[in-house]
Amino acid sequence: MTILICAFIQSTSIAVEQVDVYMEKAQNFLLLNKYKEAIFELNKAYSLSDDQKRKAKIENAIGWAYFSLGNISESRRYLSSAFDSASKIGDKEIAQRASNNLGVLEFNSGNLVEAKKYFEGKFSKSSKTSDSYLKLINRKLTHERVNEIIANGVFYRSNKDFDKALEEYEKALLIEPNNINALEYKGYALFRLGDYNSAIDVLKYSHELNPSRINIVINLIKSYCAINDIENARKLAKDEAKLINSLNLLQDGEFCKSCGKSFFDNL
Amino acid sequence: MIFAIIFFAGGLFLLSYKSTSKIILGVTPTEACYRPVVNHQAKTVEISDNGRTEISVKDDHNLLISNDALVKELTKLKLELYDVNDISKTLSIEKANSSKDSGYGF
Repeated sequence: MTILICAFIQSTSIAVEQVDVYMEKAQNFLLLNKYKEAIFELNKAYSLSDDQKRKAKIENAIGWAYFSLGNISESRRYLSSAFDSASKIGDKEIAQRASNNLGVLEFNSGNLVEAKKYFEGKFSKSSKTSDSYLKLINRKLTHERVNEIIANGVFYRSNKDFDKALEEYEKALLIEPNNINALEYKGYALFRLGDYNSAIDVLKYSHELNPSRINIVINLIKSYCAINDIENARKLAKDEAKLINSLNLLQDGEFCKSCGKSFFDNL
Repeated sequence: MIFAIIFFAGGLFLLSYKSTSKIILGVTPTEACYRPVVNHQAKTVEISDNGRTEISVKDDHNLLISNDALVKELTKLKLELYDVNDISKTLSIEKANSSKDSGYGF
């Protein structure tokens, strides 16, 4: 009987030692970003492990390795399993880690509502990771709301209702004053409504914020032309020649109407 | 005999005659840099700022509408989006791995 007990204890300690070896190997592979190899070692460690806490920990690591590898569905499966196991045995540390990892996974997959659920859950709540992600999610949700308002403006613009479009862009800018899309579209709406000086102010500011937006440059040149400020129009066209080079602006009727067909002569 | 010739010539004329139809074409998007290019019989058609144009077409005429500029821009944006998502994911992984409450846990 004593021999049997000794043999059992010895085999258990050998298994524990073997799990440690696999875990160490997995860690080394993870350091080298060799995720598939790491997952292979972690699976071996999992099959030898009979401790629930350790199993949950390994599942979390496998899930996170799958996420790093880009396999979202396997990652979600392992992380959820780790989270359920850790919650069941009441291990707050592993449950928090798995819950935060699930939140990060959903955030990166664009499922903001689902991510929020994890970060606001009882295990993740008030952790450093959840705090910073919740801030990002709220910012993204606000951004989505603003984009919807801008889309309404674009709808009015396509129906040539620039007054209503302008109203929508201003609504968007009340929430996000530096939203480059709203600023660009507002500038164009002001141009189309004949308020050229305001259009120039808005477009100049937009151009400062983002100098690579081609439509801002074109509309700003048109607006300068519209108030007969050819000097500034030509200067801008010269400065941004690289940006507008690929376009045949002389095919743009609105451009020709504002600046004339000879605008680019001797530029 | 004369009538027969006249009828014959009239029939030939009707056979070779192709009626001209005037069509009004509207294209979107209307922004100059992404506006589709419309080619009618190898000639580029001028499109107004509202995306409208009037074309006189006959049977068997070729009318080609190309959205190359828009497709090019969409492809560019798609690739940019992929890059941004990839960078965002990489940053998320690095942040999680260096944090105590997320990542691998060892």
